[in-house]
Amino acid sequence: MSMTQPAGVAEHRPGPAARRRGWLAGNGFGANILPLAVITLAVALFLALTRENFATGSNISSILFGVSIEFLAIIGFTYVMVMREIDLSVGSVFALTGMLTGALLVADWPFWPAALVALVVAAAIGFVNGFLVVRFQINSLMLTIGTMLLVRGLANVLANALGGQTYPRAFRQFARTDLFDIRITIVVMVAAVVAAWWFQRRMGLFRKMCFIGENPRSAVVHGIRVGRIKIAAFVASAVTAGIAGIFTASRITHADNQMGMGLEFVMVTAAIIGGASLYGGKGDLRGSALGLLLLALVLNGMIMYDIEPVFQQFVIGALLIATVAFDTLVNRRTK
Amino acid sequence: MTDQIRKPSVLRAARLEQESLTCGVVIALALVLAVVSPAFLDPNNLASLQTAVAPNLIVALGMMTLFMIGRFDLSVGAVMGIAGIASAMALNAGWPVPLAFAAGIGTGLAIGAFNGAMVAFVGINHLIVTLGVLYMTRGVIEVVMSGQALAGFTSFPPGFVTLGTWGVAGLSGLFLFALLLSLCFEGGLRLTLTGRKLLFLGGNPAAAEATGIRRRRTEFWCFVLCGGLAALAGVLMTARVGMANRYMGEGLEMQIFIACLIGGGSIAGGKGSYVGALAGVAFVTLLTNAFNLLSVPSAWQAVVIGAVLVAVVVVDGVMVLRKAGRPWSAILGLFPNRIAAGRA
Repeated sequence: MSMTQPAGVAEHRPGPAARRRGWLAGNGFGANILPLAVITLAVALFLALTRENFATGSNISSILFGVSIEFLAIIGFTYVMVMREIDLSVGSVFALTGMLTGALLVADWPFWPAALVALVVAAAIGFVNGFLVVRFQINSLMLTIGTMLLVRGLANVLANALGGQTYPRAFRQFARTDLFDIRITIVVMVAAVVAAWWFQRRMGLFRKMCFIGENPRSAVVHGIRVGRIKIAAFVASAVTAGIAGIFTASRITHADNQMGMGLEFVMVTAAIIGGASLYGGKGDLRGSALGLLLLALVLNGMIMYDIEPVFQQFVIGALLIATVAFDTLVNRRTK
Repeated sequence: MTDQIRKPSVLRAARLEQESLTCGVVIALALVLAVVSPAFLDPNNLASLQTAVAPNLIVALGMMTLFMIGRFDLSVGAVMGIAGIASAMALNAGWPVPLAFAAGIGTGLAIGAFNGAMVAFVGINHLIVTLGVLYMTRGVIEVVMSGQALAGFTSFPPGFVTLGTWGVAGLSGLFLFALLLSLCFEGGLRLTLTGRKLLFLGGNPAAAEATGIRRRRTEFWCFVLCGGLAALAGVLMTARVGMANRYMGEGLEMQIFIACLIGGGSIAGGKGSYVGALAGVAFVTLLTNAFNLLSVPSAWQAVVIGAVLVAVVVVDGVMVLRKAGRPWSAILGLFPNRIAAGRA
């Protein structure tokens, strides 16, 4: 496995064999996109045919709106996973950034400086995560559980200080900004998926990231700046989570202790459904988006079928184990 | 490696270096609290400390066993909750006390067996499995308790309540039981072949397997043990507080996790002792107690616990690097050489 990889990296672009495989399959990555899209469509069709409430405009657009906000947070997360690291602090960073923006706005700051300060805080958290992981070679799972608790604590301190105040009206309207009559986050999601398509096919950086995930030692030997790329990915993960947090804070209109709770596990599940792996070297933003959509459809379907909402936790846990089990079995077979 | 070969100190020879450090910190913390806060030495506070330490210690014994072989279990808090609820439901259905007790323990053993089978035989990452099980178990608890009042089950026969409330000479029986249990475990670890095998397996899995230790089977049984101990703690705690509700054990896994790391365990495995688990649990309990005595808001407690975890993980990472022979300059220097950036 690791024998074929260096050749691909040395070229920095897909070889002729990969190019011949057709544009939809990409360069060997994301061969699972088509089946995944079919499954997602099938679930959507099933719900549309069996439940009349499903195929209404408002339901579909609220699902898409929710998915598009979560999607913003999964952008960096997916690329962290490509490098065989994980960032479990996304949910907490998501909450902290959203609440911090809201708190600054309540304190009469203008919007853009407030958002910028909050995003800088998020970037700093991401940098600390990445720096500690790279410098001390810490297992990122462990470290980010620690930062998850720490940042969650800070977010709760903020939430208590705000005491359930609603954010200013202008901020509450922010997430409802429309572009071409569609929510702006949905437009951003579509644009980002297209950009990711290009990035994953054409950029050497993505190849390097996959290489790092496959074999960090030999990536270093080949002159790839593993540390820098990893730190950059952790920063990106925190910042994208922060942007999503700002949209979410605007959407839920007040500081909520539960904001972003368990988001990290939804993301792990979605990313793995979308073709990433805990064993690194793989990952696809298009797949992650489809994974999020599929999860949202399943949860929406459960509501449509009047299954107890408390059972959702159980389903997310079961899906997490099932997808990772599948991932493990697939990886074992190819090794 | 220019150091002369020295005779190892007593603590080093007994592999109790970090444990003794933690013990020292615990004693120092207790002294400071006794001086700073007059309420600390209050009999009520001491009694509540004992009942806080006891279940955590029982859970930590199982967790520490997993730490030794390089695994951990994040579902312990949820297992504790569901075991308490299971025995409470059995009692409500009119089962005799021993059977209800067994029902709770059995639930924990079953969940532990599921965790173990997934990790050892299917080979899934233990963090993911136990996190997934944590979510699933919490979901089941919510479903089971959905019709109940917030306090949950509260009426138990006296025979069951005595399990949790007996005591000797002012000391809580649960506390004594947990202490005794940890001493037994420590003895087993140091004096029996099984105990040595656990540490060997964590220290060098490949070598351990080559000498004929059955890794998968050992992992499986360690997870079962951990689930069983968490359930034991849950049932005893239910008996102690006289109620079984959905809040029991929430967030406990992180406290136990931190306690084990502080008490000398390592995520990488091959290290740890049950005495260390005791010291770690005492530290975390005293820390929480300090927050309450000094009336720090609960939101800040999470911040400090997270910060402690980050610090412990970083120190653990530095120690591993030092053990691998990396000089200090390459670990903490401004410009570590670039080769160092790669991970093993």
